[in-house]
Amino acid sequence: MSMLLTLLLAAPPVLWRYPTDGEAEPAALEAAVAPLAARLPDHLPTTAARDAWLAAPVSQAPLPPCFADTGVCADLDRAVLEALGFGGGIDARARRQGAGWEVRLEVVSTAPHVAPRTLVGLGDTLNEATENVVSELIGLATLRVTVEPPTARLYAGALLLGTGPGNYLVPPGTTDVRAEADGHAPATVRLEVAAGDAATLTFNLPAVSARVTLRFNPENAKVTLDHLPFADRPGTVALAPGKHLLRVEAPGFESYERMIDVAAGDTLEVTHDLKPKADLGARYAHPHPDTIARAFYGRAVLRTTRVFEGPVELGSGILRVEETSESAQLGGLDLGVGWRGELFEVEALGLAWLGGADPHTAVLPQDRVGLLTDLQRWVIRPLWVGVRWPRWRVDPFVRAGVSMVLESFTARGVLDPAGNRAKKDHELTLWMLGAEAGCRAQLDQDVFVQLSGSYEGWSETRSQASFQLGLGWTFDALGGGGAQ
Amino acid sequence: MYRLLTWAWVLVSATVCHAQPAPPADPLVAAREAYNAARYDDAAALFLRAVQADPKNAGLYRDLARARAWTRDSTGAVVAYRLYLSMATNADDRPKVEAELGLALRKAQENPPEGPPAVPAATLNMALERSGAGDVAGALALLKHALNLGYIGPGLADARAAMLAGLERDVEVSLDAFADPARTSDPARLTALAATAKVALDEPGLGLTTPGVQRAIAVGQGLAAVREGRDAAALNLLVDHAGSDPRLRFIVAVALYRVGRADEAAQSLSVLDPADPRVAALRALSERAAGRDPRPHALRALGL
Repeated sequence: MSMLLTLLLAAPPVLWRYPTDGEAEPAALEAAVAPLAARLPDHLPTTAARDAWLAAPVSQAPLPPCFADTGVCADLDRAVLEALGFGGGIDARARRQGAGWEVRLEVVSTAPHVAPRTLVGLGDTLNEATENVVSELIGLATLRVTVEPPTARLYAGALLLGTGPGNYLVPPGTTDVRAEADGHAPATVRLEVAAGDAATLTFNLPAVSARVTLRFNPENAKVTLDHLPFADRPGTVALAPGKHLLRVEAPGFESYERMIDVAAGDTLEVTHDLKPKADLGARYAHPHPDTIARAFYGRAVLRTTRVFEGPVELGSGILRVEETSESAQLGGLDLGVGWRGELFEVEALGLAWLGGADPHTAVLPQDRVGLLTDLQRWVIRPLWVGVRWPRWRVDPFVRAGVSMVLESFTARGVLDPAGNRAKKDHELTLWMLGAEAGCRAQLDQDVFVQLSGSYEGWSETRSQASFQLGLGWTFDALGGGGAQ
Repeated sequence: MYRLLTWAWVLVSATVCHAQPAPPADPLVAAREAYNAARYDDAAALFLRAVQADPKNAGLYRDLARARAWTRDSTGAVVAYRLYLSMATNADDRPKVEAELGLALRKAQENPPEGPPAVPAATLNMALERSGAGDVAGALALLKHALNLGYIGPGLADARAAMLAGLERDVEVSLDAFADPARTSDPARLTALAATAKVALDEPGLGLTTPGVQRAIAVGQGLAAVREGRDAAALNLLVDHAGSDPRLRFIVAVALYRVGRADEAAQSLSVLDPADPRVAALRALSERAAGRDPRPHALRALGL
């Protein structure tokens, strides 16, 4: 249904023919027209398009009047075009014209009272002549623009034509063509063009400013020009001609100043890595930009933990462990992810696995001595909050919160004098309060090294003290900026 | 009573039988029957019709002359005898007929001029002039008048041939105009052609009931129907007369295509000149409507 509607609503297409009496091969002329097909939406400029249209089913149109004698057909070819459902026909021929080409279009419309017309396009090449005559056909003129610099933008009145040199189509009539480029004086040319004209324009825009390319470290340094903010990141900027005081500064770095003298059209590259200030006091008076550049972090640290002896709350049984009488040394991996501001931080989740303890003694019922083996602890630390105090790249911190410790071990005991032994696996959950203090060293914007110690304990539990060493990564989440 | 009824039956039967003699359809047979029955007035009238129907049959003039002689129309008899003698130059009975002519001349109150009777002959000449001028309808009216005035003579056959030629010429002119894309036919002329031909067909006395006249009617009415978009009526009129005439075959194809009989339209066009752009274009449309590839014909129509 939609296809039928499309057929009914579509304008009858215009058939292109390439008679063999021209000087150019019909195939060559068709090949010159084919790339322009996009400008001719209701045309059938190629053999393939024509054949596809002829083969497609179309609704039956009334026959021209001369088929049933209800009128005359002054032009039988036009009547045939109308009978076959075409909106018109174009006979395209090309012939040599001096060193170039002339492409001639004989245009016939099947609409009543539309007189045939002839369009002629000239060009140095067949393609150029074809493009000119097609422009005239669709009622536009061609501008062949050469422009320097090639980044210049071209306008016809308020209409943006494009950027850089090339061929552009403009409406016929009087047109102000303007070229603009950053750092260059704009230029405007008034043109009187008719449909099908091909005008050649050359713009050579004079430079009115210099171009300065800034490269510096750290990248978040601020650049001022003549004491006014000028740039906040490396890149290329336009600069008015003359003498200027360029200053690059960043906290903790020695500022860089340079007097530059540029003329219009100059290109200048300023490259400088700011040196850290030699004054340690001044250096550590501020956080390094890298330390506060990213708001989120993830970390992975190696952890060694000492689990202290103490009471064990277990159920009944001959292998019930009442307390441990010896500490155990565990080791494992501790992962965490969190957010940090300039002074505060929250570790959203910390997760550690600890194991590898040597067997250690425990007190069993009736004062028997047992062994605890295979001790493992999972430590979950949700929402630990803390403070930090970054100075330069050193980032000391303290945080605290609640830990949930999931512990498992195996209890072994000697049951009787004869030496019979038994064992039993235990699992228990411990809740503790904990605190961690440490220091991070921010290596660059993305990576830090962390060293910290922590203690987690509670009354009547076996507390633990840990030492952590590892790496962390900082990042921006959801496109957010840094912590600064 | 029974006798009365029998006589009544006999009388009624005799009356019915007498009132309903089956008249011979051929005027010549009827004329001879009348002549043999001594009904000379009837015979003269019937021989006149026979002569007018077959004006080159010399013997009929002699029969007419003898019937007129018996009706004491000696002047009419002289005209008929003379026409016989002028046509039957080697006839065996010429001495006898010349004797009869002499007798009639003696009885005639005037000596008519040689040849056909003067007033009807003048009327017929006017009919021929009108036909030559392309006014076939006027020519037919004058022909009818001449026959009513009693024209006899071999020139009547030539006059009829001229009338038929005029009709044929009108048919050709109409078809040419209809088929020429640069001209249109005159609808009034088509209507007049059909009406004229119908007059010729409906008047048996004119002696023009020929296939050519029927074709003229069909062409006049059929072309008018195509012009008015009455394609089904046009097909009824034209299909039997299209024959191999390329103009009529194209017109029939137009009507077939427009009534949705695309397959038959393509078939009708298949014998026509494929280089004719209109034929090729209509063939392409018909092939496409019939679900076949129209491109070969479309490209030929477009000169590609």
